[in-house]
Amino acid sequence: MKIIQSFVLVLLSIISIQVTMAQSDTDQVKSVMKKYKETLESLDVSDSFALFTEDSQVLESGKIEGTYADYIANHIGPELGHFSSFTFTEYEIDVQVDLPYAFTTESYIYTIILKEDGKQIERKATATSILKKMDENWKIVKTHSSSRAVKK
Amino acid sequence: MKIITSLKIAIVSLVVLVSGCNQPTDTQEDAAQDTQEDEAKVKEVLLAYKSGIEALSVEGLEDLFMKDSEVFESGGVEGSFDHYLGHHLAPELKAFESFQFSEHKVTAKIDLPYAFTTETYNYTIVLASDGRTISQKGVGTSILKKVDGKWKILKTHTSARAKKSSESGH
Repeated sequence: MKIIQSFVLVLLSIISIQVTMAQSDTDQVKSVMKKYKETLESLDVSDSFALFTEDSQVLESGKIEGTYADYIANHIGPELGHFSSFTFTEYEIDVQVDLPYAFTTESYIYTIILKEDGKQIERKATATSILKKMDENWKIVKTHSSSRAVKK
Repeated sequence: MKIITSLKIAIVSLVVLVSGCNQPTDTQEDAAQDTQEDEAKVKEVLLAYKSGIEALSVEGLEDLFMKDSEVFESGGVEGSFDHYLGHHLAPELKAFESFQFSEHKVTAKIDLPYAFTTETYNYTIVLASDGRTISQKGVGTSILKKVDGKWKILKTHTSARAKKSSESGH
């Protein structure tokens, strides 16, 4: 009887450790995605390169933008200069971890206010990303975002 | 003299050993061949899906997806493929007279049990109601999983934008 109890205890400990580790990875992945959103909201992407792998791929609404460095240089970098604010609301994230990968789905509404005329752009968006754990750090390998008009 | 001969043998052995290390082993060649076969099978799954859409037929498309799949289309969360099929795709295809893909390109990266794909294409839809044509440039990213030797789509996200006038071909 004692042997069975000990066996069950060991088994429960192993399961508990695995659940804790998985939660920890999930939290780390959420933290990377949160940091990326905060970077965009700050309109300053200079410290965000480490969130992506060097050979990352960024896709946005029907277009391959290239690596994250390409995307910064040719699209989002210059674009942010035209915004007086960029905010995310109703943000939700789902994370599935299967080491060394994590697959995320984010849904949110983004609101941009243009510097030039104060015009407001509001869109409902979805982003799906693949992250990989490399040297204990989670990095975005691929991210695809798309948006549509917000239903009023 | 014996020392020189021994030295020559040692150098020749070392050269043979080093060159042998640089040659792909049978195992490496087998792995590369397996990856190529997996890439081809993954592409077959994606092409079968495109062919079904072009035929305006949803028959057999469910078999290309996992039961717990997730579909995303241009900012929208469509649910599982079964849900997407019932609530979006099947009704939509009935409203089309034709649906054609062109300039379809696909890249696939295999890391078992997963495959990560990126597709680019143009699509042209002709509406059944008034013959109106819609031409868009699209991208699709998908994650496929190999289960019991079969590749199935686990997650797919497509998005599109208007083609630039220089790309329209008109």
